[in-house]
Order: sequence, then structure tokens, then C-alpha cells
Amino acid sequence: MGEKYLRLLPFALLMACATADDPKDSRAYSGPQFYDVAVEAGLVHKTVSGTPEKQHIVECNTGGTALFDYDNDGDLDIYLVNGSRLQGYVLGEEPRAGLFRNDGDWHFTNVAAQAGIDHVGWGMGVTAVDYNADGHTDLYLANYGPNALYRNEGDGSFSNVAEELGVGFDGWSSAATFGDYDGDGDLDFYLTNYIDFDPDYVPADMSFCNWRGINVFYGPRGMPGERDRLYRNDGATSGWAFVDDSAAFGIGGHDYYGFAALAGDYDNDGDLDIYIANDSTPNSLYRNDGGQFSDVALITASAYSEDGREQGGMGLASSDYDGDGDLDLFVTNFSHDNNTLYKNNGRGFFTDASFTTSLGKESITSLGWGTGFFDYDNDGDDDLFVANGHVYPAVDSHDIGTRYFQRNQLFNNDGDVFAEIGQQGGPGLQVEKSSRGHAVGDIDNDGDLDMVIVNIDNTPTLLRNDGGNDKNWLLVRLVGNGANRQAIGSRVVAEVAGRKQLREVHSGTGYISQDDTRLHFGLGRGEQVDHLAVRWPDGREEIVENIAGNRMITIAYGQGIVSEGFAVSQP
Amino acid sequence: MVKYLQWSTVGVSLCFFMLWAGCGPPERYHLRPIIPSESLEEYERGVAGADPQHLYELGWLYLQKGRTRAAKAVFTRLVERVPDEADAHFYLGVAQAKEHEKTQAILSFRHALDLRPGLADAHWALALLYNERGDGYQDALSAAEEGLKLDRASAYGHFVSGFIFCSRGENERAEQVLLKATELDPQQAHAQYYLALVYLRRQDDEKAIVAMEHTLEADPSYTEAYYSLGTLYARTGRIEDGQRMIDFFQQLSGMDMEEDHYHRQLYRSTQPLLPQQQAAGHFNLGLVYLKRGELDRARRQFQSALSVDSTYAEAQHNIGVIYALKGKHEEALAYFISAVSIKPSYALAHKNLGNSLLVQGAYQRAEESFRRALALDGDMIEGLNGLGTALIQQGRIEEGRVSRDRAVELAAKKGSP
Repeated sequence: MGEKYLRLLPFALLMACATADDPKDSRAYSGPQFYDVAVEAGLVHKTVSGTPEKQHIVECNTGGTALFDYDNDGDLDIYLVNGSRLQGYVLGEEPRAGLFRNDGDWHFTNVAAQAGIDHVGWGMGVTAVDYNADGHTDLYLANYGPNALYRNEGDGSFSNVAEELGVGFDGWSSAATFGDYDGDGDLDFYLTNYIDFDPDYVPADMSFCNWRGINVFYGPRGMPGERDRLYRNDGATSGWAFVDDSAAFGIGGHDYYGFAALAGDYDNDGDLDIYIANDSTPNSLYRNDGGQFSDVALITASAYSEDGREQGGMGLASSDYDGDGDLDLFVTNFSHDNNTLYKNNGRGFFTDASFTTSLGKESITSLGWGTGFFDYDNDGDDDLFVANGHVYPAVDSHDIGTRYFQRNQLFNNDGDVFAEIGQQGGPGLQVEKSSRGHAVGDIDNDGDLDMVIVNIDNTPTLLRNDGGNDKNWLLVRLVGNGANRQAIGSRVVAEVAGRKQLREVHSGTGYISQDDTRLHFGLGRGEQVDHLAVRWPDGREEIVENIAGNRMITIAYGQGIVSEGFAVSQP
Repeated sequence: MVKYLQWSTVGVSLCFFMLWAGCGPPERYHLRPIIPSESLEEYERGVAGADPQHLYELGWLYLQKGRTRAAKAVFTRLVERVPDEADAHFYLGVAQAKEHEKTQAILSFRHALDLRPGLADAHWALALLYNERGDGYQDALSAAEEGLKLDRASAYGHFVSGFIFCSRGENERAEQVLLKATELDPQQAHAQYYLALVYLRRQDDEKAIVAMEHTLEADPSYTEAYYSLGTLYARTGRIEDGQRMIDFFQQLSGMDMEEDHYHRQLYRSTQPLLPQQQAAGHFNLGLVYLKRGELDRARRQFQSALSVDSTYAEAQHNIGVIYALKGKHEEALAYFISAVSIKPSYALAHKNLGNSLLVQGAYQRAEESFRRALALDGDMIEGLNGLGTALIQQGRIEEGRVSRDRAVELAAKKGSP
């Protein structure tokens, strides 16, 4: 070997090392690609939210979306909440919410007006739920202003029955999370509220209007928080009326700034607990003990960051990402802080795993909103998506390491760590906007998971997953009994080649949005689910075995598999 | 020619020497300590004709109070007065950093280093600033190392490196340097705390508890450590201890918590806890140790509580308990007497005083103490038993039996033996 080559050797070794260690090495990734097909699909619907300068806090938080099948035709339609502006609009020119019917083949038509659900007002979050168990999915809208409950009449139209049913809370709500919290079989709901907001209020302490040396709008710090509420469903005999029974449930001791809430069985005791991501205040974890709730977030180490600071909680995701049989939690937070992964130790106590899984360090410069665990590549583990975007447009004129428009992030679950692979995940993941809510579901029923993302003051992003279905999959639709037809709160554990995956049917997901409630399982190279255990909300267990992959099945309470395929049957 | 060569060799050697001398690390320069002797109000009154030392002290007090904008104004003025003093530039940098004027802060720290290349603290301040937003990791590590080159024995310097590793999830490297920091100075509370976080991340709860306890022993005003320790106790099954720590954390939080944790490490504004709170911090920790049977460790915490607040009756009492457990009843007696004299309504202390007096054979005084305890809490089973013994020892057998029977009756009611 010549001297010249010897001299070059260290350099070559250095380069080789750099290439091998570089997670952004495009050659290392050959997984699914995401494409933004919003424009071609007809999903051109601007989300309005106040002024571009964002002079008030209310102007930066809207952005819920729902993926649900409003017409029971077997595919997912899209609902997009819309905002407004403080000075209002001339009658007839107001921004309206959109209901985009899935016409198949990635084409959507806005049918909100004809369905009577083109809501006018300052919308925030949306939850798709069949609250009255008639087999048609209704929508609850959380607003700045009176909330709305749109009952699906089953004929393609909706009627707002919020006032009639006692759920038209008039304040600033973020989202509703349904579940059978009192164990009586019907669906109650937890309403997160944000601020008792007065746009004309001039703060005495202007220090709250300065963020890292930048003049910004006031709040939430310094503003009075709006108390959350828990509504009890009085059932069919009352005409499905609700009553605010927060005190009886043991809810409402705090005036935190509530955003997202997720109901799941975090302590594995068979009932639904409620976790809430609160902005600039401690997060809450309401443990359910027979319909009585107590906030155990502090003692279970799920209230703060690992170093004991309250964070700016925005969105929320939950899954058994590490496959150890319990629900872990992930909360998106403000910029210059990390998103937080709370790993469940099995008994409802948590360890902050943000920095052992790399999720912490990857989130410092971004401001996270919508988020969700999902298996984008059908390899059998839960990956993670985070929708990002700042609240202060003024950050663009300051060198503080963040931007108003931000790239969303896709994290691949590599076992012990999550690797951000958004740069290689296709052009749809290179979009830089100020994103908010997002929802996940198999929009084209091809076995992999697609996404819709709301962008503030902009049109949405519709991400088609190409190649996720290179590996096998199973989609499970549950039909519950009685008043909980969607089987919200059910837990399903699928076993594929000795490996278990846990899913729960959640109402209200991510950031004030709603994922598809059908449960998706990636099977990897496995051709079947060997063992599938359903734990229904009333505790009954049902087991189905040897289910061939690459199909959707419907399991009805006490009846096992009642149908295969995407057509909606009504057992 | 030879002569020329000789001179040439000398010349080259000299050059090498000079070059070597020039490249060596500069001498470590320490910031001059600032010890204000007056109250903030006094300093503010005298600010008009202030000399530089006055400005140092005023600015430092502002930093301590979290009034960073006022601190920046004072240090800006100071820098105008003494432009060649590295300390002034350093403190201006601190105030600017806390005001989120990152670029200006970096310039101030660099200026301080130009004036005093041996000012390791400026390197560490730069390291923390570079690391702050997540995109300056390598620069941060380099700056931290520059500081350590000047002072390998600095626990704080090692902490800074450890903190940077920690912020990137590099737990093994973080552990290594944080352990070094705690070896150099076990009282380096930051290092102890972040070492605990490393263990916490690994779910090595027992090691995390030890390091977290060391944090609070080193600095009872380390508010967040009460939360972390509380969650650790709870997770490891010590719910009551956990709840106590968390309750205490809730009493304290918001008082000295800085939203921005990076700046907290940069220059901790030690808004001291109120004496009662500081004492309560020691006391709570002492209780945990006492329950674990770590008597000496517990006693040190109770003593620390008393050194801050000598009127802490419960701390006096618990030291008495520890001495009693060790069989040192004379010492115990003194503490129990002190406890009841501070807090005459302290039934438990009267009862334990009675017990100690019993052991000493002072039956009549013991009787008096038990009676005082029972006057405050008539259902105190041990008090009734003690009283019974004191009476019997004085020959008042029947009275003593009555008291003991009452104790038995109460125990049966309460379901205790």
C-alpha cells in the first residue's frame, strides 16, 4: 500500500464512520413513503384562525379533525373544524367547518352544508362518537363559544342537539373524551376547557407578554383557567341527556389550561382512567376507582417533566409502545422544551423515558401538537407521529433556533429508541406549515395507515401511505353491546408469532382530534393473528384465534367475528 | 559556522519554549466573591453615586431575586465604568442570558474570556448557552472541555459536561462525569440531581433515590428534587413517604422554580427558602431516614432543621426519639424537654418525655408528663400504659392498674395489641 493511501486511510475511516452513524443516511431507509395528496383529493379547505400576526392566544389553538364513517359506507370521511376571528364576519362569509365525504380513489367532496354540519363559530376540537347507540356516528364540537353536539340522523344529515341535551357549555373548550366512566353501560364524556378568556383584558403584569425576548400575545400564564367538566350520560330513558356531574365524579379541583384528554386503563384494573395534557400547568391523571376519580398524576410521576417542571402540554398519545402489556403516554409540549414519554411501569406508575428513547432530544426546537402512536410500516410495533408548528409568527425574525412553520416528524420504533425518519419518509413529510390536530386511519382501506393534518391559516395535509402494506396487517372493528356500540374503552391484545400488541378503542385522540376507531395491527411477515383477546368495556373477555391477515374483521360483543371486509354490517 | 549553528539552535529552542509557554493553558481565574452587606433597598438608595463594588453587589442581589432586567441595567452600567474587568462582563452575560439575549450574552462571556482567559466559568456559561436550544451540542461540549482544561478539579465544570450529555440522552457518558463531579464535591447539588436523573432514566430506582437524597442533603432548596424523590418513593412502594415529599414540593413549587431549566443551571438564583421551609425540608428527609432506621443520618437532618429553626419542636422531639432508641436517655430527655417547652400542646413529646423519665427512675416526674400527654390526648394507649407503670412504681398499684386496664380496653377497641 502506497504512502498516499495510508495518509488517506484515516480520512476514509472517518467518512465511513460518519456514514454508518448518520441516521439521515437516505440509503438506510427503504420503508413506506408519504405523499401529500390533499389538493388532488379535493381537500382544499382553509383553517381560519384570527389574524396572521396572532395578537391573541385564541388565534393559535384551533385545528381539530376527525376520521370517521359518517355515512356507514365502509370508508373514512374527514371532518375539519374551522376557526374565526375576534372582529367577526359579515353574515354569509363566515368560515365554516367541512365534512369531506370519501368518494373512493382518493377523492373527497365537501358535503358539510347539505349535511347541516358546516358549523359556524370558533371551533377547536372534534370527537366522533355514537353517543346514542343508533349505529350512526355523531360529532361533538368543542368551541370557543357554545359547544355543539351534532346528532347523526342516519340519512346524511346532522342536527345540533347540544342545548337540548345539556352539553352546550359556553366558554372555551378544547375537546371531549367519551367513555363509560361510571360503568353503567352508556357513554359519559370528559370536557377539557382551556381559559376563561376575555379578549379585552389588559394584563397588569406585562412580563407574561414576553417570550425569550420576543413580544408575544398574553397567556395562558396570568389568565384564569377554565375548569374541566365530566358529564354523565343519563341514558336512553332520558333521551340521552347529559348532566354535569363533575363534583360527584370527583373532578374539577383544578383550573388548569386543558387541551387534550385520553381515556385508557392506565393501571390495568379494568376501568377507564383519564389523562389530560394541560398547557403550562401540571398534567392530570384521574384514576377511576368505581366511578370516583382522584388526580394521581403527581404521585405517579406523570404530571411534570423528569426534572419536576410543568410543561406546555398540547397533544397526547397512548399505546403500549414497548410491548410490556400496559399503556404508556406521550405528551407534546412547547418549543425549547422536550416532548415527554411516560413509560408505564405496570402498576400505573411512570418513568420519564423521553431521553432514553431519543424522543426528548429530537423535540427541543419544535413545538408539538397532534400526535399518535401507529404502526406506519406494519412491522408490528408502534411508531410515532408528531405534528409541529409554532404559535408565535414573530419567532421567524429572531435567531432563537425555531421557526413558525415546522416539519412534522415521524419516529420509527427501533426497539429501545425512536429514530426520526421523516426526512426519508416521502415528500409529504417534508411539508413545513404550522400544523395542529391530526388524525390517523386507513383512508383507502388498503391495510396501511394514512393521515390528515390540520394546518393553521392554511389548507390541510392529506398523507397517503404508499408501501406500508408491503407487510401484513389486520383491521378490527368492534361492535359493542347496549349503549356503547363503538365499544369505546375496549382493549384488544393481538398475538402474532409470540409477540403481543395492545390496542384500546379511544374517543378523542392526539390534539383535540379523532382517529379512526377501527384497530389496526401490523403483522410484519406473520400471515395471521394467532390469538386475539378482546376485553369489552364491561369486563367480558372474548377470544378469537387464527385470524388470517390482510383483511378487516368485525367482532360483535359475544358473537365473535360477524363479518369480514370493509362493508359496514349492523349486527 | 559552528558558532552560528549553536546560536541558531539556542534561538530555535527559545522559540519553541516561547511557543510552548504561549500555548499552555492560562492560569485559572476565579470570579471575585460578591458578598452584599446591606439590603437591596439600601443598595438601591445609594445607586446614584455608586462605586463599582456597589454595582456588583446590587446587580448580584437583583440576580438573586430573579429581577434580571434590573440586573442587566446595573451590570451594563458597571461594564461602562470598569470595561477591563472580566467579572463585570461575566455578570452582564448572565443577566443577558436570563433575559434571553443569547447573542449579546455570548459576546459578553467571550469578552470576559478575552480579558481573563483563565475564567473557566465563562466557558461553562457558554457551554450551557450553546446547548440551550438543542442545535449546539458539539460547541457546548467543546466549551465545557475548555473550562475543564483550566480546572480539572471543578465539580461544577464536570457537572456542566454531565448536564450536556444528559440533555442529549447520553446517559453513560453523563454518569461518568457526574460521578466525577460528586466525587470532587459531594455537595454539588446539581451534579447529584442529574446523576439521580440518569439512574431514574435507567429505572435504577434505588440508586436514583440515593442520589436524590444526596441532592437534598446538599441543598434543601432544590425544589424539584422533592418531586422526583417523592415519585421514586411512591414507585418503590413507599407511598406515605412519597406523598409527604410531594406535598412539600407542592408547598414550595412556584416559589423558586424557574421555567427555563437551562438558565437555572447557568446561574442558579438561590432565592433562599424561608427558614421554616428550609427546616421542613430537612425534617421531611429526616423522617424518611428515621423510618428506614438510619438513625445517624436522620439525626443530622433534624439537627440541620434546628440549625435553621431552633424552635422546631418536632425536630427536637425526633432527635430525642433517636437518642432514646440508642439508649441515650439523658440526651433524649434534654430534647424532649426542649420540645415540650417550645410546644406545650405536643402530646407525643410529653409521652416520650414520660418514657425517658421512667427509664431514669424519675417516676413522679414521669407521672406528671404522662398526665400532661393524656390531658391533650386521652386516647393515647402508650400514655395510659406509661402512667400505669409510673403509678405502680410509686406504689400506687390500684391507680396504676386502672390506667393500664383503660389502655387494654382502648387497644381492644382500636384493634391493636
